[in-house]
Amino acid sequence: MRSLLRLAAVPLVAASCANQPPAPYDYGPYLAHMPRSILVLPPLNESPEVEAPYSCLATVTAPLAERGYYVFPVAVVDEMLKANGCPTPGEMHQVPLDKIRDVFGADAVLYLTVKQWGTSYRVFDSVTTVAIEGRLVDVSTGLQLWSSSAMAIRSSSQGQRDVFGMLAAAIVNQVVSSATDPAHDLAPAMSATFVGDPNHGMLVGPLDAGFAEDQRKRRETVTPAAAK
Amino acid sequence: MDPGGAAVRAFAIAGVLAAAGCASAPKTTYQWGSYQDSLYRMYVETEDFEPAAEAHRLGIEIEQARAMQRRVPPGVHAHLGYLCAAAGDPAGAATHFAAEKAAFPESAKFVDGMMERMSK
Repeated sequence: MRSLLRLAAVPLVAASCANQPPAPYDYGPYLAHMPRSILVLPPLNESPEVEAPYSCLATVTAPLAERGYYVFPVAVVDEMLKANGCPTPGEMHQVPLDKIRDVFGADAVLYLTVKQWGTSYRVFDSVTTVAIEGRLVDVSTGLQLWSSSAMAIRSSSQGQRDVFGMLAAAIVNQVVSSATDPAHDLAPAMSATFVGDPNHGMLVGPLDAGFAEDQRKRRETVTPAAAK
Repeated sequence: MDPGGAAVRAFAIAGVLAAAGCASAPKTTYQWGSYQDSLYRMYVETEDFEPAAEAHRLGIEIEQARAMQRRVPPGVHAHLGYLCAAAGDPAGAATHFAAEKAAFPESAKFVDGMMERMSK
């Protein structure tokens, strides 16, 4: 009897050690209030880079639309809110949801915050970091449907070996970087990860051909757990 | 936790890799052109931003997308309509706002509101 117990215990331990997947994301509320259209507001900024919010904002439309959502024209939305008494992202994030529904007819709002944005220059190289977090909120109920974060990092010295070569590369990279904005270059990859992360990314939207299939799969995996 | 689920996931990943290997069709649903670059210029490199020039460029890109039978992304027609209005071309603005609504009925309320405000 005791040996049987021991046998039974082993696979459990092995299973819990072998694969430690991140806790499955709860898509229950998201599935229950599937949006077709998303209003992306200009991000709040927790980085010291003044241009970070709009540099970030310029990179999120493509991944969201390619995921299968209607994305309102971000610049037109921004101009409209500015013209109506909301000069900054902070004020835009305070606009009541019923107002957003009346003016835009949006199903959901994506509230973003820039956590990190920019390049730090060290002796031999520079490191560029961009990071955001965001939450998707259902306009008609105010429920949070989804939230996530993403970060991308790039070092200029990848593959550099000798000190003099590194020094030369650091100088060249600083010149090139100041001309091209490395944070903005890195932002599209970060935004794509934010939206499409395989473990906790956004669901495939109704405008995508794969919508029905994704919904079927998600409901199979999510509903039994959510029903408990 | 769920070995069956893991196996399914492994198959799904293998399937995606296989599909990616032999795909030659365009990877994106929409023809993006320079829309996102235009947004960046509008806010970050403001000294290079000129509504009429941006409107002209986006107009050409929309024609090119049409010629290639590719779809124009959500928001691009409305963005172009806004640029037309800013450049003093209300007729162009109305045309592109209408095109946004026709391509994406999700934009109807927003576009109708803008058209109404423009006509005042």
